[in-house]
Amino acid sequence: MISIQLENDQQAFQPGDTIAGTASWQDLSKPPERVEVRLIWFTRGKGDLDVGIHETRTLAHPAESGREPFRFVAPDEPYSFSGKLISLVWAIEAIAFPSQEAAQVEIVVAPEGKEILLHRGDALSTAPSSSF
Amino acid sequence: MASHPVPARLNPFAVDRVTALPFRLTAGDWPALMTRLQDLNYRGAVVGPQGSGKTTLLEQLEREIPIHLGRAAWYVRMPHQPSQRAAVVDAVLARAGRAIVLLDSAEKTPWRGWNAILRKSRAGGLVVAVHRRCGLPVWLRTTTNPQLLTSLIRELGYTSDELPQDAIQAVFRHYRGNLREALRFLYDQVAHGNLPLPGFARPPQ
Repeated sequence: MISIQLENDQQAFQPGDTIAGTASWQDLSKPPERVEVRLIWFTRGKGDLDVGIHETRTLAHPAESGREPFRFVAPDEPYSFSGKLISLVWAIEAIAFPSQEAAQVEIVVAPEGKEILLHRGDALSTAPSSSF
Repeated sequence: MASHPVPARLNPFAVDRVTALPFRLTAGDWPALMTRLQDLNYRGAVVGPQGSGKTTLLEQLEREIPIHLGRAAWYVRMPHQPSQRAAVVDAVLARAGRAIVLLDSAEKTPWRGWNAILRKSRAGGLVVAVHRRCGLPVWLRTTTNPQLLTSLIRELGYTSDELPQDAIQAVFRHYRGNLREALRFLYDQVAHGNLPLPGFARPPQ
């Protein structure tokens, strides 16, 4: 099992803020050869997934169980945003290799630590005969 | 029951959540399916209509084949753009013979490339996803029914109170069993606030 604990449980950041936390692992299905902690972004929504790795910290030859603190600087861009069709989500991801057991914590990176919302309360889509 | 629009990241029908759902075998189990693939000398077709899970199955096979058969498997989709297909044929030919190639949207393969792939894959293996028979023996037919759509929706978090069976059946009928389109419709209903988020996914007020 691998997990991520963010410092003070903070999950919203402004560009330039420090994102700090600790990755912990134990009882992995295979002894870890390395543990990577990544600051990533990905899209989620109606279309295909897109992913970007902003920064990676690699711990080589880790113990079978352990803890590793990490620090990243919240990037200047892109900001976390959401519309109805797509969201851009920042996250911290920890992966143990070769088992590829992973943990992920989603965070917000945007001015004032507030996700930018794109959608308006506009008209509803046409629906088949069913109703909800 | 319209409410506020829902951010895409919270939508239970977002593509990454839907594609993470495992393929449902309607008959048999993985070991039996793998034995049948072995009997076919690792060459066969997955045949089914659009939105019946062929892509989901092939993507899952890329993980299941090494586990069950101890052989390498490689998934690739023949692109929609005709100008990009020759490059994919070349990539398939480079892999064929060394891995079981899992070729999605195989009916888009150019004729010459198709014949070359059939020849070269005799050594390694080839599983294709197609809408109708294609010259390879049929390994599996994918079908859908309202119960299958219901089970996917339940796994995405909706209870029968939140999204009743009769509403699901209406969506299934409207999209004539195309689960991909049905789930995309439900995405829109959530996005526009017509369908509330399932209880567990609602952000705190």
